[in-house]
Amino acid sequence: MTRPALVRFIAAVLRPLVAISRFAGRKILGPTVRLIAAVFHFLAKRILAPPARLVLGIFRFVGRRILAPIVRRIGALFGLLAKGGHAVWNRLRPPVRRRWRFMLGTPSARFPKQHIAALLLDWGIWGYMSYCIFFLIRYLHVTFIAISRYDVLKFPGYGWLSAIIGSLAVAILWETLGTSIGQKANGLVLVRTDDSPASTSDRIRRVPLDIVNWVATLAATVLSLVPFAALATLSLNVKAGVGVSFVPGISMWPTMDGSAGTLQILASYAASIIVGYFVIAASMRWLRVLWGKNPDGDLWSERHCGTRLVLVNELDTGAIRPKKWFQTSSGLMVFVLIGITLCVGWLLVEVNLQDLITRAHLMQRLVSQLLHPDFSTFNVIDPILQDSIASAMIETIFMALFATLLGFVIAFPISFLGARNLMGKGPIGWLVYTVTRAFFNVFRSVEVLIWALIFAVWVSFGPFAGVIALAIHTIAALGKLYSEQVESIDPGPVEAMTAAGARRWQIIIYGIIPQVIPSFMAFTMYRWDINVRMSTVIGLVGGGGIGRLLFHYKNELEWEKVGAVVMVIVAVVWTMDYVSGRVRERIS
Amino acid sequence: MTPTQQLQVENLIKVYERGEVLALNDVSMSVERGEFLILIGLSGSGKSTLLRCMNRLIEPTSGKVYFDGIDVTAAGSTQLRHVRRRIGMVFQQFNLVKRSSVLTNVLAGRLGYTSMGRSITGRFSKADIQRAKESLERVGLAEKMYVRADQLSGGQQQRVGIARAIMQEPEVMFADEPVSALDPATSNSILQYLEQMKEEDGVTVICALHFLSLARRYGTRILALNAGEIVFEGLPTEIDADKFKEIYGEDAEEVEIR
Ligand SMILES: Nc1ncnc2c1ncn2[C@@H]1O[C@H](COP(=O)(O)OP(=O)(O)OP(=O)(O)O)[C@@H](O)[C@H]1O
Ligand SMILES: [Mg+2]
Repeated sequence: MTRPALVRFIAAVLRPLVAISRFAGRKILGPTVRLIAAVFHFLAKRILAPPARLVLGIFRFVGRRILAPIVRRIGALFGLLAKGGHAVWNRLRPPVRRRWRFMLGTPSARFPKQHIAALLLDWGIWGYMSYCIFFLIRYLHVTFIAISRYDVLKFPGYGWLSAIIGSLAVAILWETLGTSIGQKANGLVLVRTDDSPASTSDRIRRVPLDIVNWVATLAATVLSLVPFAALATLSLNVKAGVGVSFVPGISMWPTMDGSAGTLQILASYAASIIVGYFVIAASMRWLRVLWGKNPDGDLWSERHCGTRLVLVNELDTGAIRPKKWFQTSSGLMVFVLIGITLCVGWLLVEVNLQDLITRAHLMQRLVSQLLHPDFSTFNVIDPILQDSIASAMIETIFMALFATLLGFVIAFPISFLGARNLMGKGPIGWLVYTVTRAFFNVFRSVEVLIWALIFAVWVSFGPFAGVIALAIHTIAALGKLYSEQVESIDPGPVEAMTAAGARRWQIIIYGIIPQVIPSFMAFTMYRWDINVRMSTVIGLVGGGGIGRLLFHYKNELEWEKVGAVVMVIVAVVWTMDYVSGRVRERIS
Repeated sequence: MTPTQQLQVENLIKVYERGEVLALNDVSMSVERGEFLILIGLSGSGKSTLLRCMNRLIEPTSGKVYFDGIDVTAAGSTQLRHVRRRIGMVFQQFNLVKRSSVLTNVLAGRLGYTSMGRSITGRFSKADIQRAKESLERVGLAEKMYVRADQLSGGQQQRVGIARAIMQEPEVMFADEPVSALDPATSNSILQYLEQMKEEDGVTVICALHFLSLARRYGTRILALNAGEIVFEGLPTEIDADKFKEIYGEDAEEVEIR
């Protein structure tokens, strides 16, 4: 075969091949590829893309709506801290209140103090209610509630924990309705946005809608409470795990065995989540109250409710007819509280009317002995006591006089430290004021008898212990009265003397003391009066004076002599009362 | 500061924390020695605040006050007292200690000059007591010296207030609406005492007033405040009906009080 023939042969063979492959490529492969491409295209566009877009969208949403605000908020927090630091750093007469504002942000609700005071009061009320209810349940031996298992009324105990937290949850719910005693007491009322009074349906609508506010806190609740309950289950026992759940209603049922018990535990977990969620919601709410940014002053969730809490004295309520007490839930609540207090109180102190009547003859004998007083030791020294009634009484009067004077001398200078208007606005002044007032309040709230007990042990029995006890109480009581008097003076003369360049203590001497002296004198007289009365009983606990005789004769059942002592005391107290009354009248 | 300047106020701003009130908004002014400067303006315009910021009875938020070349706003407590005792002050409510005698009240004006020992024991020097008697004579109350302050009439109490300020031998007198609680005739006599201090002792007087008639009669210069800003400064005669409306608002109308 020659070369051209070979070439021609190959060409002849290839030509149909080329044609075939062209055909195959054009008519078979091409469409197939196009089809596959189209399928992929379709897949990508219609099936892959939407989820991808969705995922992207979610990421974008999370980034924009959730992460960014958080980051911004953290940034703002640091900004706030920096600002606060700056304010402290450059102490260019920084107004104290302003500095606190930096730390806390602008209050969102306009009246955070009232909100918080209201919650605390309501919490206390429901805490008291739950105590009473538990008491009644136990007293009435309600057996189907296994209350004794967690001993609700013994502190500390799971019962207490549930009572404390459960009552908080109820208080919050009550406040959501805007009709609680706490809110009423703090002047908060629920109104619509146009300031018209809220109706019952408005109030009920707040319950689910305010939960909108709480949803954000659910996760935190789960995270914080489930491990808590689980831990208790593992480390103590199943019952404790149930007990730890914060719902008294569930923890009080007897624990069941087997799958029922498991169910019960799960139920208690669920309940604890729900209740804990109320609790955290509440804390978030109050944080928001303190640290919110909403310029209108209403809470975020309140915008959805169409109602908000405002101060009653900011409203024009003159045209609204006030409701009767039994028409408001706070009024009814007060009624219920009074009722339950009477019930529980009656049961608690075991009122026994029968005894009052059947044992009356004992009282008759005692009174007749008291009414035949034996004055034989009035001015004759009792050999056992080494004292007579008259001299003990004089001792008592001097104890009172001495304690009062001591109290006056010490309380007088200290009281100026406890007057807000004198201590100025600076931090040191505030500290001195607070410490002084705290001293007054603490020492005043401990009764004289307890002070006498303490000092009877400390400096041994006798009039000295009694005098110190009286004096301490007198200092605190007079100090408080004096301070309040100093706070209520006419500030005009103080201003005038300041303007004339007088020093602070000159202002006190010339501008303040002349204004307060009359009432100081009246208070002191009144206090002397009280001290005479107090010092008669102080002897009971070893404070010396007439009380010692009283106590002794009572122990010896010498009722005739007790009668004599009581009569002397009555006579002296009555005289003192009259004299001090006249003197006070004169002064003012 | 020229030597004839007694007081100078620069860019004074006062914001009351409570209620966030801007009581003084960038007030600048100066007072010459021997002037009788009258502050007028609506209630709440900031007259009292301005007076009290100048001797720091109220702390200004920012700005400077110079008294006789001394920076009052930067003064420490001792220096501030020394400035204050050179400035007498009388008040709308008189600010006397009601239960103390007239003499004690007047002597209180001297406290800035009295030593610790003397004021604690209440023994003022002979010279001070003499001075107190003289200043009471000056306001015509010598025979009321031992009467309790609350037994005097309003006009008499204000005269005691003036006697108390005289005790300081002040270079400047601040008067914050000294006659607002008094009848027109008594008002006139009180202002005459202030004018007398200006004429005889060369005291500079700065007085907040509500009555234009009195302002015209006694003032050598008038400064009008509105919402914490100076809206007018000039001679009493320059206040005509238009200026009046500018100061007190469109609806105001001047009432003559003699
Ligand atoms: N202690 C204070 N706390 C808050 N705001 C105040 C206080 N004292 C005054 N203000 C406010 O500052 C502004 C100026 O008050 P200022 O007493 O200086 O006015 P005034 O011109 O003296 O008025 P008046 O003629 O009634 O005495 C007013 O708006 C007033 O409400
Ligand atoms: Mg004023």
